[in-house]
Amino acid sequence: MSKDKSIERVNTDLEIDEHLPMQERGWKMQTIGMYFILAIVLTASIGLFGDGPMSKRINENIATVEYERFYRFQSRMELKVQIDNTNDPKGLAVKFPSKYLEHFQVDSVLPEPEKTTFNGDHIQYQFNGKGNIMITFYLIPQRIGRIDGSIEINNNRFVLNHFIFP
Amino acid sequence: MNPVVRGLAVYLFVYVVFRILGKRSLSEITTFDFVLLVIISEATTDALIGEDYSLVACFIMVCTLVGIDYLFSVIKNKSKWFQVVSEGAPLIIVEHGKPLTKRMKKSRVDEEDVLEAARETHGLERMSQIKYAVLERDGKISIIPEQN
Repeated sequence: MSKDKSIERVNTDLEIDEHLPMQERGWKMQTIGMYFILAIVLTASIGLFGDGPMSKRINENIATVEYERFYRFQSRMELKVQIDNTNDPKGLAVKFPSKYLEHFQVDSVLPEPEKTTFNGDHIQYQFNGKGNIMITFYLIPQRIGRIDGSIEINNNRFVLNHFIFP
Repeated sequence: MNPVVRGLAVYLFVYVVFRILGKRSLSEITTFDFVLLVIISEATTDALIGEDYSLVACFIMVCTLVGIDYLFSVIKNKSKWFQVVSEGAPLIIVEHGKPLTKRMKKSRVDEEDVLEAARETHGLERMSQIKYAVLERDGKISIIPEQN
């Protein structure tokens, strides 16, 4: 025998308009809405909107570049560059195309560069040092949507693709 | 981001979330509900203001929120359907001392909530003294006692 899942019907002398069919639809929408909210929480916790394994991207070549594929508008995000510079006396030169930096505000760089030069179509940060170097750029997205770009590290190109949520 | 767009987006998002949460959370019945409301108001502040601390941005935000509220109230007056969708409708949850359990379960209300409202508003002692208990649109429970 199947259970009757329909809600109770009331015959009342109260002057009240319950709009029961709409309320029942509303309850269904509430359930769907709650699942949707839980899905947002789950996907956000694994980095769909940044700060998680789903968002972290690592590009490896002569250096390792770690950045966020997904992030949020006007939130400070990290772009890390790591290189083993033991045999290179020239140090580390990180070049950002101006077109890429149009979409970001460079909040800070750690450690601070020895020299920063601007040349029309790019900005170059020069770091002197030997051994294993780790540089962190703190960038604040200034635009929503897809941002495709690249950086050059000692003349080697690394592609960067971001999607910035509002 | 344009303050009007920001204000509209935050207002609509918080509105939809509270509709999903249900009527009872709006009436701040429990500590959980109260904490939730306080924290939500704090969380939305930065999203509304962003990095713009100017007076003009504040005025635009206030006007946007007031404007949306006014627009909704005008639409609600003209459309019964919109009124029910946006605010819900009252629901009888106790009839002649008998709790309507399926309705209560759907509305996430239990007998203790009804008895609490009955004690607070009419000093009633038991369920059998309640003719009707109605879960109102604002999440409060109103009690109509039996005649005797």
